Amino acid sequence: MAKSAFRVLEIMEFVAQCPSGGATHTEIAAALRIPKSSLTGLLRDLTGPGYLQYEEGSGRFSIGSQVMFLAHSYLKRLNVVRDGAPFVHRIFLEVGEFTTMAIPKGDSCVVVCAENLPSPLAHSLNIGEHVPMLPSALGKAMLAFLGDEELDEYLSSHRPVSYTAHTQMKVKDIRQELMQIREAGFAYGREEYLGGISGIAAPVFNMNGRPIASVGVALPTARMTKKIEEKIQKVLLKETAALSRRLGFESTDTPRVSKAAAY
Amino acid sequence: MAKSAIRALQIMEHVSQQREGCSHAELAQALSIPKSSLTGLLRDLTSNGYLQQNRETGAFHIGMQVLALANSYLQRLDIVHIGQPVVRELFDEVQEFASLSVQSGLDYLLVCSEAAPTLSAHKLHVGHRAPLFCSAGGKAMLAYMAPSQRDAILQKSDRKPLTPFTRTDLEDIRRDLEEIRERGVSFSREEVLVGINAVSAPILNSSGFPIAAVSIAMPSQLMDDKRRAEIEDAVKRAARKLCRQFGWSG
Repeated sequence: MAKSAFRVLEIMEFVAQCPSGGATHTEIAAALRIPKSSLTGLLRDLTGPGYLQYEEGSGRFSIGSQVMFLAHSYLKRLNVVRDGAPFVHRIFLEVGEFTTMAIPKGDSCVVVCAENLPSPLAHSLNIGEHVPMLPSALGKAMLAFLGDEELDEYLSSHRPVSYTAHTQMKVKDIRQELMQIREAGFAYGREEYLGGISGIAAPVFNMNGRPIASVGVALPTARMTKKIEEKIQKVLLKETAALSRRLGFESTDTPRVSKAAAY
Repeated sequence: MAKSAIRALQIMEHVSQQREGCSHAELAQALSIPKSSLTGLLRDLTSNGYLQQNRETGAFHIGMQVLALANSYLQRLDIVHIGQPVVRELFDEVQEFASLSVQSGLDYLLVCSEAAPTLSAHKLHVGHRAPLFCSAGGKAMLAYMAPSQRDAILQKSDRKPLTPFTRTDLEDIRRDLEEIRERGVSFSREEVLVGINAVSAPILNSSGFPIAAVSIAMPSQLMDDKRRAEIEDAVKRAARKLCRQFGWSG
């Protein structure tokens, strides 16, 4: 495999991860150990089609608008349901309990993906089913990560509805719980929507950092031991973070080629 | 300069242009790369996340690693940092697709957007492009450029119709731009996408140059006169807010 084909990607990755978002000819040459003379040609090849841009004032090269062609090709194929299904499947395989993904729809959230063992215990939610936001782990996981103003508006325009004896009915308590969810990164449902069923859910974010979906695991409260609870939390956080990255959230790190080239 | 240096980018560019991705054989033919050396390139691009392969069809698609590069580009644009909260507010107010776009050659380039996270909604993504001459965002920027720059862009544009409603006559476009300068806001009536209307206003910097446009796009059926007036007002307010932040006091 010709290493030279990846030189241009190494250059782009180096420039992209510079704290100032750009680097000079000299800086690139030193960091990637490319002879200055051959770097000149490579930089010309990259600035020509707009993969890099040269900033006269600072003398730095930074990422150019041409990369947006590539990014758009990736982004327009994204579909949280299709792309999320394998993550839901992986979580289900690891924890062996009912796993769902939901997206917000109006006042509630709607289940778009579900994995379950065939079981006579009919506590599962079906695809297409609507679940209320406030009393469910799936809904709370998304609500908690709305902007402050948006959350205020939601809470002032939606009265809590009682589903079980455990449903939280005081807006003050709900708000406090949502703030805790923000800290922890995941939400609990403690029989607030379905009697006897507990759930844990974590949010999925898009490129703008907006919660656009949530993934949750639900099981009979009787089986929710400390051990299984910790396992679910760990698996959910890991997989939802990976799904969010796939959707463009916080994908500024990890220059791949440079790392690969290091071994 | 050895051509092979930008091979990796040529492959990615070709893949990104194919709607359904691209097979090994198609790539080999299109770029005249020997199949055997292409195999190694594709393997490396895939393992580094620049491409991904669909297991069922075998087709290659662009991978998520390009987002790291795209984010680096977007993060250097002040308009994205400063504009995003305003786009968010605009979306909250009108509950229709809200976006910011900048000029990129003869196109506008969408750099920031907010939309309801529904499955069915028609959505445009960051990186979307459309010609300046017929899009609402593009016309909002064209209208406020210096006449010489505006004319140069219009002359260079191929002015190919994208829909049956695209206005392609140079005199019609010039009249539209005149009207935009009077109203401070531009419209696209299904000129880019059938069924979608858009309303935009320019964001001017301290020297009055249009650095971006803020837009709302929505199904044309839902945009009656009353709704259009509401949206026009909201878009203008959002643009004014951003103009002030960029030092335009006009």
